Amino acid sequence: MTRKEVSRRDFLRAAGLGAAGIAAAACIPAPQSAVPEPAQQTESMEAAGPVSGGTLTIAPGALSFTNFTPWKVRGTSHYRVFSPVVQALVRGQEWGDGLTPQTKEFKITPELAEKVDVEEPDRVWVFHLRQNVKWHDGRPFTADDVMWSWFAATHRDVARQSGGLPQIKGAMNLGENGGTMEDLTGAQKIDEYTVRLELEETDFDFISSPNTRMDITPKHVFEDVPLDKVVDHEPFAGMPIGTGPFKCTQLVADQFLAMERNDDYWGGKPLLDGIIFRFLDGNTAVAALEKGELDVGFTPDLASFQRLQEMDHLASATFPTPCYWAYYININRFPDTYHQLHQALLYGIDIDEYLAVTTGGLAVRDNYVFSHIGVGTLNQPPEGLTDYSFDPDKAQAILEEINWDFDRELEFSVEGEPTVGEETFQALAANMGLKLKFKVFHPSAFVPEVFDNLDFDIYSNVQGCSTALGHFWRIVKCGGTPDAGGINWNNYCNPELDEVYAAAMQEKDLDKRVELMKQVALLVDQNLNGAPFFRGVGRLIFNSRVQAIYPGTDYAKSVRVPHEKIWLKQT
Amino acid sequence: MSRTRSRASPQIAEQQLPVDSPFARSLRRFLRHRVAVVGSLIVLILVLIALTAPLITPYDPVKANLREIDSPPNGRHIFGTDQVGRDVLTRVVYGARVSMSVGIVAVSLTTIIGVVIGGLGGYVGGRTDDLLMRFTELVMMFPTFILMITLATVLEPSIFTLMLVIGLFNWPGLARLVRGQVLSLRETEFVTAARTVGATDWRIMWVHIFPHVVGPVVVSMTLGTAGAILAEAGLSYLGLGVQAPVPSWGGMVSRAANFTALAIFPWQWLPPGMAITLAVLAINFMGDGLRDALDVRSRHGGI
Amino acid sequence: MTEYILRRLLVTPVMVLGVTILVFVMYNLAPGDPVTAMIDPLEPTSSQVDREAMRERLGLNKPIHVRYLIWLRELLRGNLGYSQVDGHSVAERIAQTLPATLLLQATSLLLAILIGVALGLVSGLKQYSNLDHALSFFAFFGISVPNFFVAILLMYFLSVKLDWFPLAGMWTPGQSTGLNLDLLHHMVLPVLANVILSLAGYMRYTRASVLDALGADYVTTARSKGLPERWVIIRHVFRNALLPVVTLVGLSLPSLLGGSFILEQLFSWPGMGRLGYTALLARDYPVIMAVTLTSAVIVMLANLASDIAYGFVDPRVRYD
Repeated sequence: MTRKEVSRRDFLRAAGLGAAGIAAAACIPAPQSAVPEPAQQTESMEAAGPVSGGTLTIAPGALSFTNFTPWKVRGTSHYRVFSPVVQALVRGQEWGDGLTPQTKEFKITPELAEKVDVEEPDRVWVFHLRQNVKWHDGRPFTADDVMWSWFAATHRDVARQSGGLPQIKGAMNLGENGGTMEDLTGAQKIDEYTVRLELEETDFDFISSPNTRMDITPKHVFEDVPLDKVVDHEPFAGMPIGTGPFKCTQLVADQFLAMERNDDYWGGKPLLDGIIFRFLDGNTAVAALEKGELDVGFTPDLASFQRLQEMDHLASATFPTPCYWAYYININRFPDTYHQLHQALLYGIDIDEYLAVTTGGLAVRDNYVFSHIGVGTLNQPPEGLTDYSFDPDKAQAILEEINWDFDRELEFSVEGEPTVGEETFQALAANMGLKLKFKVFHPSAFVPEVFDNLDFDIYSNVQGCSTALGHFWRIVKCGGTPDAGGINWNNYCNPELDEVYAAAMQEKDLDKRVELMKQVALLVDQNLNGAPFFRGVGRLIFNSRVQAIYPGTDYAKSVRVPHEKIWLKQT
Repeated sequence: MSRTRSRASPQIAEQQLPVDSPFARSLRRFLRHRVAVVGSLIVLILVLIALTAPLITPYDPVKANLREIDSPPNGRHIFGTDQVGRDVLTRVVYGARVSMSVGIVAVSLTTIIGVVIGGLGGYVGGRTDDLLMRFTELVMMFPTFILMITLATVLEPSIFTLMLVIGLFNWPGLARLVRGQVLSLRETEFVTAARTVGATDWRIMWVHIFPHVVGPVVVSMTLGTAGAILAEAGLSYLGLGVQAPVPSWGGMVSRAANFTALAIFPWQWLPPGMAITLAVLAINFMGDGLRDALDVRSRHGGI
Repeated sequence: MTEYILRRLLVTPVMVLGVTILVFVMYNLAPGDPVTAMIDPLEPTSSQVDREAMRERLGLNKPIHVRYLIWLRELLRGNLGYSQVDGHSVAERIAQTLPATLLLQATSLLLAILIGVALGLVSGLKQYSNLDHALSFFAFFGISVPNFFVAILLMYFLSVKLDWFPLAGMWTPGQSTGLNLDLLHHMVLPVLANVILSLAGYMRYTRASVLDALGADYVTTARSKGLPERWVIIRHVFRNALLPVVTLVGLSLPSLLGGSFILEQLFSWPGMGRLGYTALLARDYPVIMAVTLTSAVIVMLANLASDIAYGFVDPRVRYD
């Protein structure tokens, strides 16, 4: 029971918040319009060009980790720590800011693969590997490492920790029953530097999705390690060996992980001498930034962000995440009126005011349904989509139409205790005559009580942090359960939508797929599964000596943090 | 060098000085303890504030007011407002109700357990006493706060859970104190005399033993209340306190216990922080004075 | 004397057993199942069938006292279970974090005793002087402020503003670790916070103890013999007043360990308290329970040690 529950919770976290992190981890640059650029930036742009040297200290936003292998990556802060060390074959480029639409010119950023040939769109690829890459221990990187990595990621003894790559041909069986390399029929080594990958079915998210763990680990390290010991194999687990621009040199448990420059890095010699990840409490990290003990701190609370960004020695950046925040009415308790209630919330709550309180106005208002469905596929709302701008009269009209009982108290289920956002929502809902009463759940009881037993009238959730449509679909698909690969916790059911979506997933022609996704957006619009409010925004505070980490540099389009190109301005 | 405390046990002291009533004498001794008097006055004022909260402030302690977020002190909000625009003074005043009732209920629980276990052990003696005292020592071995944390994480969060958690583990000191007192009283002549004339155990307990145990119990309750208020703050900081938006001192301070609030929103943590410190300090001083006045000797009763 | 120590030693294992029962009871109140948490997540039991077989084999479907015995057997084998969050062996994590906690707490305890006793002596000898009042007030003040607040204030003013001490952590990141000056420098603030928070007890206790001794017959006798006052104080008052302080060691340890949940987290001190705090946030019950259990055992051992020490220094003590 415990295990199952935990893995479930992990799954939910990874699917929702965790993935948010991954997007944020990539330190996605903001479109220039999102925030006025700090003054320091222009100055720094005028300063002399990159210089090498210095050590960058980063608080990844976690208290502690004991395992930094790709199999155990849990969300943002974890990913931040291992991303300078371990690399993937390719990384999706365009998903990075969460707002940029996929286009026909969709590109992926090659990493360990130099070139990718598409044998069959969204299903079969041939990867040509870089030939001059060395592992941090000096051994050459070859196709065997890739084959090993795919095998490890799918084998049941390892995959249970990582989520695996179930899309690969043969992976499902390997994940269920275990087996040997030969059982992973979708992975083929063509020669020392060429590998072919075949999926069971077409999946147009696979190659670009941040959820697809294509991270490559060295085969030679695990030659004598039983598969069920791979994940926790030391010293690799604490200080992984990778191909990235930095290599791990010192791990002091629960304190810091120190890395030094990898002079043999295939992408050129990194500028920094080293990077240190410190595991600090969020509040302590704020003080460390103020004091100058820390160079980079992620997602400080709003008030701290606003205070720190005013300081002379600090600079700030914000980046929109693809996650969206929504409020959900329990479809089972309001089977006939949930759509109207969602509509009433979208019209009746002043979302701008909500965002001013909860995000300092930094977040992107996003109260039309389309963009969440269309993310990554469409950049224009289809014709006929409702525009839910603030209109209290319309909200009242809708509530009257469904004969809403204004004396009724809605149970507002929250985890731990209400957040500022939830309290703000409550206050704004009161303005439109809706009474919300908090129902507080213990963090450990929240998942079973709210997601499984649906014990709520209304609650808020953040999701869609991965732009992968397949992932998003798990939230809205009809009849899905977490165990069956879906996370449809509100029991939302719309068979018509299901059908159109399935067709879109199978459609190989991008134009036709876009048309189908427009239909999906319109169908959701006619039958809202929730009241989406806004897209999240990531916050970053860094010492102004740190260069090339934030928007406005050449690396703005990069998906991962370009650690090798970060440099420190001499003072 | 003068000595205010007598080394003799209380009942003997009283028998030797029959000139005025024990109460009057205790009161006189207490009043001489200036700090304790001031402490008691402060406690009284805080209790009055808690009782008359709605008369003191017109604002709602729970409802957010989005137009006035993080306002510094001004004419309408003399202690400013919090993260969602609620009046800080209002929350401190209503928080007094929550924090003090958590303290008082928790301590009452502690007292009941402590008196029952200590009294039973001391009065019955023998194997029962042995067993009870081993159990007391066992609970004493536990790091109380960790035990509170652990229990709070497994139970459903509510104000009653909090009272239970804080009250459940602090009784060993009191139990030992009461036991010692009862044990020594049991053997005194007046108890033996009462027994020979056929007084029931209940009567002996109530008439002859209880009055002598009141002193240590009152002192322990006072000091315990101070401890409970601090425990509430500590648990709040760990997210195990009274659930927001219900105001409590500990909850308010821990929500503002960060470097940013420290630097730029002093009005959000100073009033509840001062309230905690003032209340705990005042209660401690009061307890200290009571200890002297009631002539309670306690080695292990904390400070 | 020997009998006292012997009995004390014999009772301890029974008490430890009592502790395990208490922890197990609380554990059973928590969602999930303590014995299931003992299963190594890496053992290949992915399917539901395997898991059922495993439950059967481990006796998870048995009544609670049987499950307690299973749990106890695993404890005795050093199996504290596995973290529900990262699957790490809890025993390993405790072993990894315990030394840091012990270092911090032992240092704090020692300093708190030294300073507390010294101030208590002064306070007691100068009863009702201004100094006595000031020290008493300070002591009370120290225990009237929530501990996290003391820590945050120290960090803000002594580290962020004045930059006298490092903010957090045990060593400067990237520098060498071990028992070095850097560690000492990092220890100042957390130790200071601990000392401020636990000073009062020792001070008040010593003060009362001194007052007691000053009024005792042997002091009056010594004085009447015409011994110099200084001699009387040192030979008779101090000696007799300080003996009972030994027993206090065990008494403040529980609150120190309890406080470490909050202080270690703020100071990023890689100890058991921080481990407990992290587990608390994730409701990682196997870890929470292991921290509770370990803390209780430490307190018990410390009490045992201080009681035995007291038995040696004060022969009057007997076991009752």
